[in-house]
Amino acid sequence: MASYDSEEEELDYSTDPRWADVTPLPQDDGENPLAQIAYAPEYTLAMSYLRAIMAANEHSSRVIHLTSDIIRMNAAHYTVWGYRFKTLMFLDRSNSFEDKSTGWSWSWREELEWVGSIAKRYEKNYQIWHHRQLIIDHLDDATGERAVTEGMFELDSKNYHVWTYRQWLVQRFNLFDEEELATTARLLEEDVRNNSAWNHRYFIVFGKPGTDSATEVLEREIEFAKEAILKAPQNPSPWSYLKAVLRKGKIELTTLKPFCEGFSPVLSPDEIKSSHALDILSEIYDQTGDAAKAEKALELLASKFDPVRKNYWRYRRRLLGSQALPTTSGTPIVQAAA
Amino acid sequence: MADVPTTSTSAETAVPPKPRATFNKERNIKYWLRCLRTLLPTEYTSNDLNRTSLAFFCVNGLSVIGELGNLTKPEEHTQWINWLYTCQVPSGAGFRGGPATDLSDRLTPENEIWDPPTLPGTFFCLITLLALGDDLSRVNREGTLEWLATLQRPDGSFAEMRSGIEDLEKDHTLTRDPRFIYLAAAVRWLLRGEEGSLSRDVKDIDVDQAVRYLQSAEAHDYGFGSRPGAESHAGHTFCVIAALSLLDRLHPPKTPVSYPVGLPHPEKTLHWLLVRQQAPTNVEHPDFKQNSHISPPPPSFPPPTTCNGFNGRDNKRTDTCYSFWVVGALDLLKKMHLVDAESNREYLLENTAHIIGGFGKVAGAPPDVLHSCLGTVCLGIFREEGINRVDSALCTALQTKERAESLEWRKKKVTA
Repeated sequence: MASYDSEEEELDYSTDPRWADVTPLPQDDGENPLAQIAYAPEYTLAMSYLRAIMAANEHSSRVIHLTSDIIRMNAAHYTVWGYRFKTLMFLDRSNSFEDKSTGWSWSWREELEWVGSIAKRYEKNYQIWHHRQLIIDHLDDATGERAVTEGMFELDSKNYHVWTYRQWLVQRFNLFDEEELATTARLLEEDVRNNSAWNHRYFIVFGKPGTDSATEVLEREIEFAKEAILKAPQNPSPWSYLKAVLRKGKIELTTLKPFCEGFSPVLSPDEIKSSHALDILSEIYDQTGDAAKAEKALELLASKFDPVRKNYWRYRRRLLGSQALPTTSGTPIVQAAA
Repeated sequence: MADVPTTSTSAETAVPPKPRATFNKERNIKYWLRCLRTLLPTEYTSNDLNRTSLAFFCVNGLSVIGELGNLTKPEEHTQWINWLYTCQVPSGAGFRGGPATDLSDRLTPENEIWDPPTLPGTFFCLITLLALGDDLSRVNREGTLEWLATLQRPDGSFAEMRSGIEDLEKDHTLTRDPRFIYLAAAVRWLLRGEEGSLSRDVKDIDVDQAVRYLQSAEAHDYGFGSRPGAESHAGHTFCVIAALSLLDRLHPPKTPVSYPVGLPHPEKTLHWLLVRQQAPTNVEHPDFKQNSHISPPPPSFPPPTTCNGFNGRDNKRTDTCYSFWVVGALDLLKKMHLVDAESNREYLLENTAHIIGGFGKVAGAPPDVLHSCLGTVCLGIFREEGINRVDSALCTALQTKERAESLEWRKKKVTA
């Protein structure tokens, strides 16, 4: 008798003796439904067996095979993931990861390997990562998990779901460490425009609850951002990062004046290399009372260096002198009652 | 009709201005009728559990171009309405995402957790019913609103549905993000109606906590991500702004209040949203690789101003759906006049509109129902000829929103 461990095994539920006891529950679409999909016949059949199994609340080893089969065809099937996890937990708790009668056996490690292979096939799916999270949390062991996410970053270094999972790992296992910092540096070495890596770096450096940022950390991060800007002055990510580091350290934006003027001297428009530097300079000049230069910076943005946003830069020009753009993050979210 | 814009090219280098692209209504009608009346291709199987979202895109797509009533038959409307009501779970507490989980006559209290009503299913069914002219009289309002409140967690976030494995989850493993708060806010807005319009006392959601969660998802660059610390994303940012709008907490009142309200840094978030508008990726650039995940080569500097669509995150390519997520959010902030509408219009009509009707995700991509619907609604925000007026918070025809507002049962009950 064939075992259930081969994931690609094609199975016809309607003729297989192992499923003979199940009466499939077909989908009732009614008369003239909306958004009818041309299902593959294998999907229609497997779904009919899944509904029947769920109706019976069966959590046996054959559920693992059936749910793999469904996930292979529709990884975004949300209840199937929960059903599978519940079944795995049931089998684990009842010492049933081995079934001598059918020769089937399973383990959490095999489950993780299978999840990993599915993740590479369905990169845009998020249920996969929630499933992995539940398993790793249950095992209370994150060994090798950072490497798994890095394998995913080789396919897509901006995969939102994988980054969400990575942040969860960092928080759950307290991994705000040098290795994490080195990973962001390596990814940014490979692609200095990887905004996900910039965001993660901010999360690692400043996201640990209850920590104050030491001066040397702030200086290191300011230097890190500035070096990246030198490589690509028109890259928005390190500019946002730099401004956020300053806010975090309560360092005045005006300290960036010489650095920004190096990229975008408003009096020498031919030498301008960065719209982001011009944007920051307009704020700095506004704060320091240099209204003419602030206006000039915004006009250069509107007319030449960022014309798609000309309406916005002119709107900003009208706000000059009004302090409408606070430089610190101290704005109260809850307005105090008078 | 708007005038043909004059080019800034001086007389001696004059090139004839290219004809202004127009929204091809005929092709879009054909596209939507095909989606409504024939099977969607097998590739949509990954949306099977959210089939009601596909139903919404198709009905809404034809509705916002004003042809749903003209080109589909009343008996079709009746059948479609009946189909949507079959998605309402037997207990009356919300709608499932589609018929795929329906356990029909084998449903019992022990297994009903595997056939759950979901927030997306409930929102998409309600709004599609309204678009089809239904008055929601068969909806179990009180039951749905009670169920809605049970989905909220202490931190203000919402579960997408009861998952069936709550007993195996810990607080930190639960999926949470602004999308589900947005959907909850929309369902609440649609069903709660005026104070005193319900037939009995129904526990409301904790609006203050929902607002606090939304505010907490602000990232270091003032966009919003799925949760605190996550990367800014235009989809989540739309959900934050639209949820605040539907909860009537987007614009702080003139006098100070004691409850949480508004975006933490509205001017900074405005900047982040406007920066989403970007020149198209130069696919001729020697560094451009079609299927690479490495950031595309940046546009020349200064960048070209033609065909600028919107991206969802810094250094990502523009994509049709972000034209809606960003412009919709800006519309709710009353700041959409700050975008370059003409450039976005060129992007949608010249780059991503498809020859067979509808819109693809990017230039050259085949059309799909999500991008086609969102591309159309975005053009509707700018009052494109051939498209009806739209409502950004609900992503639907203004008429659909007004129908909801005019329903008798939403008004306060007058006791005799």
